[in-house]
Amino acid sequence: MIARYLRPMQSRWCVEPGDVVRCGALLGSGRVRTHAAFTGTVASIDDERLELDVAGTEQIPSLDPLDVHSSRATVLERIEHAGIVGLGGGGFPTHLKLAEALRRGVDKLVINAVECEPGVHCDAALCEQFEPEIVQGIEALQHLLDAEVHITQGAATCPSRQAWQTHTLNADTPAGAERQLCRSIFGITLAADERPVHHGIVVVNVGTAHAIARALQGWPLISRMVTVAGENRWLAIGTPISSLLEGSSFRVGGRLSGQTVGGDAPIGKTTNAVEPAPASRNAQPCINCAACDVICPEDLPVAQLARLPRGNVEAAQRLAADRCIECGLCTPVCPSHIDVLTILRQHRHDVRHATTQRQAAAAAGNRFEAREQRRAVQSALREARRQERLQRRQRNG
Amino acid sequence: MIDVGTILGLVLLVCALLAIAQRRLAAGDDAFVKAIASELPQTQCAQCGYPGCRPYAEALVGGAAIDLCPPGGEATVQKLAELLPHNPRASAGLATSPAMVARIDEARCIGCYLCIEACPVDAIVGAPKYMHTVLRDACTGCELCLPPCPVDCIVMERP
Amino acid sequence: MAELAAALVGSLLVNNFVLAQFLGLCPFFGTTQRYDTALAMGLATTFVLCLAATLCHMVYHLLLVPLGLEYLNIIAFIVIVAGAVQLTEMYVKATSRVLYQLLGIYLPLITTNCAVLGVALLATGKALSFIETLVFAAGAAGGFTLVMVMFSAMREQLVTRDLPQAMRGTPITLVSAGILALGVMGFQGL
Repeated sequence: MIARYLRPMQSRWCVEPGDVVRCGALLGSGRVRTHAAFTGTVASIDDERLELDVAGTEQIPSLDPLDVHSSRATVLERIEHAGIVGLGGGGFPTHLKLAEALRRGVDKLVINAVECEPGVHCDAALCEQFEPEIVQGIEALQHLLDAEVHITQGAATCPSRQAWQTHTLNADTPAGAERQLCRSIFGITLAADERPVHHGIVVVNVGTAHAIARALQGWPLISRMVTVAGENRWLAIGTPISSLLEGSSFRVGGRLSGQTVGGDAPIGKTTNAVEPAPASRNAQPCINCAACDVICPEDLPVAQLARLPRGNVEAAQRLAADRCIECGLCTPVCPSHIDVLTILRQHRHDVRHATTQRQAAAAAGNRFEAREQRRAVQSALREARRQERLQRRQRNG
Repeated sequence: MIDVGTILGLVLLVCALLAIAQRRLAAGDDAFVKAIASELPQTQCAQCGYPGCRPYAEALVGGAAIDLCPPGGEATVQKLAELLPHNPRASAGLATSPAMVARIDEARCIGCYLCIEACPVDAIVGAPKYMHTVLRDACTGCELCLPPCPVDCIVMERP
Repeated sequence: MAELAAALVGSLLVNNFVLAQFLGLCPFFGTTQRYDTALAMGLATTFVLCLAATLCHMVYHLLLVPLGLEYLNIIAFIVIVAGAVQLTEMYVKATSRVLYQLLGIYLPLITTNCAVLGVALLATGKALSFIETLVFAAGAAGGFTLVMVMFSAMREQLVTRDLPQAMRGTPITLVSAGILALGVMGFQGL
């Protein structure tokens, strides 16, 4: 079996082809760490992915156990070293999220166990099977952030304690998205450029809490619960989907927001469900019915965005494509069978990319100006000192 | 006579008023240079032949060619053509390369400080005789640190 | 008061300078690709129109009529309009070079915008009072800006439409302008 790992952004592989790695060994480091979930030989490496020729599937913890009541820095460092990212689907590095929460100060910790998409119920199985670990993970987070705990749940029942507040929500899509949670639990409507942390809230998926508890026990993030065609299974990250399901392409994620991937795609850290790919539908021209506009939970001008040709980033930005939460409600309501979500995803990606580039460019420009100024001051000082020396020499000699 | 005199008087009056207005509204180029510089990718790579993005923006206001910026690529050329419709193009096509960032092989770095001197955006940290490292978020991929390195320990890679 | 209001609505909608009298078409097609340039052009033209109309009214009634030189009105008005445009151009250049570049040749071309001279000539021809001239000019300028903004919004949408190859660009722009003009004709009964 060949296990595959995709290189996370701003990270690099730290093994060479031919290296023999044990389960739990570090494969990539940087912004997010990647660990081998199997024992085997590194078969090939390129810019995008790493292939591991699997020899043994037995999993063993590769880190030392850590006490829950260790210092904040130690716990954060462990979360980083375990390579934990948001398992709800966002995939944002958890240590960065928590570090920002600590820096800004938060008073509400939301443990999110709402599964609002048809075809995904891995968190429900997790809550059933791993209650002690989840409780331990939530306690660790509570200890870390010193915030009151809110549990949000849908159909499944999340482990809870007396002191924690439990909110059972009507789990219609996109009830589990963090912007929607902030509105339904705290009545806070986030502005377009705000995240929950700006209101003292941090939202953590229940799977992430479980992963944190396991990290404290010594496990890097090398396996997760995945709904495989309706059945929940505890799978090693990197497992090829083709070893689980028949077929040449699969849908990764739920039935609304999922994406179709090729036959060699692996289970990733954020893969919550896999299914055989749905039959593709023939798209017809848009008839301007605005069904997508009406259903959009973020009130975006979806129909206009769906018509916008890719590459017109300025127009996409004006239409707020970057506010799309990728809930996927717009695709099934389209009577013309247009894959609206995919178009919106592209616009959102383009706009975000352009925004980060613009910000980075502005920052680089500022640093350049600052450096020029600094060098001007330095050379002026040097010149003044030289003049002074010259004058002194003239006076003496 | 009176008709010519009237029109001449009117013209002279309008001209006088405009001359006064021109004094008051003397245009500065600063804001325009800033607007042009904000369209440039700010890599400060000097591939355009000017020692940075702001100097190139100043040259653009003075009439330089709009397609000298490889990191910006065709998108930047389009933007500049909109803002500076009278500036020429130097060539038909513009070769672009994917964005890269520098990485210092820390084991081989000898701490010579030359790359830190060369970096136009302060993206390399370190001190003389101590190991240097590149701040990946701050690196613009300008490759200006590559030539000064005496031990060739800097490599360019995908971010 | 009611007459002034009627005159305002008349020049704003019923006798809209662009879509009913077909004056000032070149900035209407030239600067409406983008909403922000169209709005800027509309405001620049508004300024020039109101300034030129009032100045022309004063020059006509205080200078030309007493001297018996009414037949020089076109030359005198053109001098005033050109002066007002020059002033606007200086101001735009000084405040926003980006906008100045985006408006390009269409900014000095306000001089030959027939709407501007048209308002001055029509106002003096109809022997309107000073206040009436001002209201007439404001209505004309408001109508011009309104149509510019509306049309630019339409054109921004048109860009994203999947049109047959032969209709892209100028053809669909002209067709939509025609349909818009048909719509404005509906105000004739007002």
